[in-house]
Amino acid sequence: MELLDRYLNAVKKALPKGQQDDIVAEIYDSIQSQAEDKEAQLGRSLTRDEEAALLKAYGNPRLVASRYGGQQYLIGPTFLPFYWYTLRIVLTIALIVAFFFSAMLPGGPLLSLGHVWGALWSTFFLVFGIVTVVFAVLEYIQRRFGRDVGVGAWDPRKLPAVNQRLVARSQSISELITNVLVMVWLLSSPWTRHALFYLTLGPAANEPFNWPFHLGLIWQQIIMPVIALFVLDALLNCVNIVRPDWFALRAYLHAAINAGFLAIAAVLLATPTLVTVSPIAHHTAHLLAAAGSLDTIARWLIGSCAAVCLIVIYCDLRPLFRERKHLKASEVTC
Amino acid sequence: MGTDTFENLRLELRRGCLTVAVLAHLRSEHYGYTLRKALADQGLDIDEGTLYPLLRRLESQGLLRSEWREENKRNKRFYRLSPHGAQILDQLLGEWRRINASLDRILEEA
Repeated sequence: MELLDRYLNAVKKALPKGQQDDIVAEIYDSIQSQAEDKEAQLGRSLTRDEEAALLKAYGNPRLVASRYGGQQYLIGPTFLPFYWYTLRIVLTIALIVAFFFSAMLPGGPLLSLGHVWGALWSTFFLVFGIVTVVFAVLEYIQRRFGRDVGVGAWDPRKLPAVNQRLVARSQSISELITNVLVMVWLLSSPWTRHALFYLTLGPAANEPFNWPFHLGLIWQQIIMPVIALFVLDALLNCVNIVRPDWFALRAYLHAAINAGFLAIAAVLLATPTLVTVSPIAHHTAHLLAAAGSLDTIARWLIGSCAAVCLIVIYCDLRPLFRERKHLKASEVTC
Repeated sequence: MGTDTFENLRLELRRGCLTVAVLAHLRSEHYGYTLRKALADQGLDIDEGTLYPLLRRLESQGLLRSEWREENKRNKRFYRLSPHGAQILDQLLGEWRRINASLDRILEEA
């Protein structure tokens, strides 16, 4: 049976090493027994076509061999829901960050579009690959060693209450976008040359090297703390995308971050000079008056930001204080 | 759609039953081909692609023992229930009878 030899050879190639000969011998015996039964019924040897039909009925060699394999999937039903959940969240965060950072790369609009498109795809495949590999490893460990790698580690008492306050994911995502946008803008400033002009004027600061005004030294000292607070806020957004039920953590941390901004605003407002006339410019009365006006405008803007921070802190902490008040009231009633 | 649903449920229902049937049949020694024929004679058709991997899995779990022996001038692998397999089979049959009795009661009430 030349076809049988070919068939067994094809099955053998796809079998797990170490068991090939044993399994092939058993399949050989099974097919031979079937062929002999058929020949006994017909009273003659099988034709080549009948032999082919018998092997076809036995099944595709690769499929037959695959049934002797161990794990047939990368990520099984136990991990699949966690895999999709993780992939959705990590992809959302990674794509937002990749979009804004790639959009800020220098170049014309078409070049930027190319950067963004390329960055989005490469980020998608990178994140998809990493998350898949991590879950495939977890699946392998669970199957190979029978160890619970976290799925069983949950407690019904720690599940979020039905009426528990949640931070809306849409809110976390929109705040993350804003924070990343501001950070990219701050970080892409030409720090070593005129970072402070860039901080206040944006890309327009690239041109006016003969700008007649000069920002006070204090601006150089506050830029890094400002960036650090935005980074912290972005990290908090990422945490809340994963755990929207960590409402209290968000409230306290967000209030603390805004308190940080408030402190920076206070330092700026306490500084005697925020904008002066540049040492290289002629100190005319006209320029001095303009610098004074700019200084006043800057103070009003900083004051407005400080007021916004105060409102945000109030909005963050108010629900927690009200909740505590209700709890105390209910304890007294009981 | 309806046929697919039935087929999926039927396969699910059969999967566990086949294991019990194979273990029960192997209280006496068989090799793969005669076991398959014996099961088919009793109304339980099972294709080779399912039976042989199942036999290996049951053997790797210690429920079956096997040995290669020559019969009719050909080497054949004979399977038989192990002592551990016999214990498990008893437990499975007990469970099977309980499920069957419960189903009977549910169907009588319905």
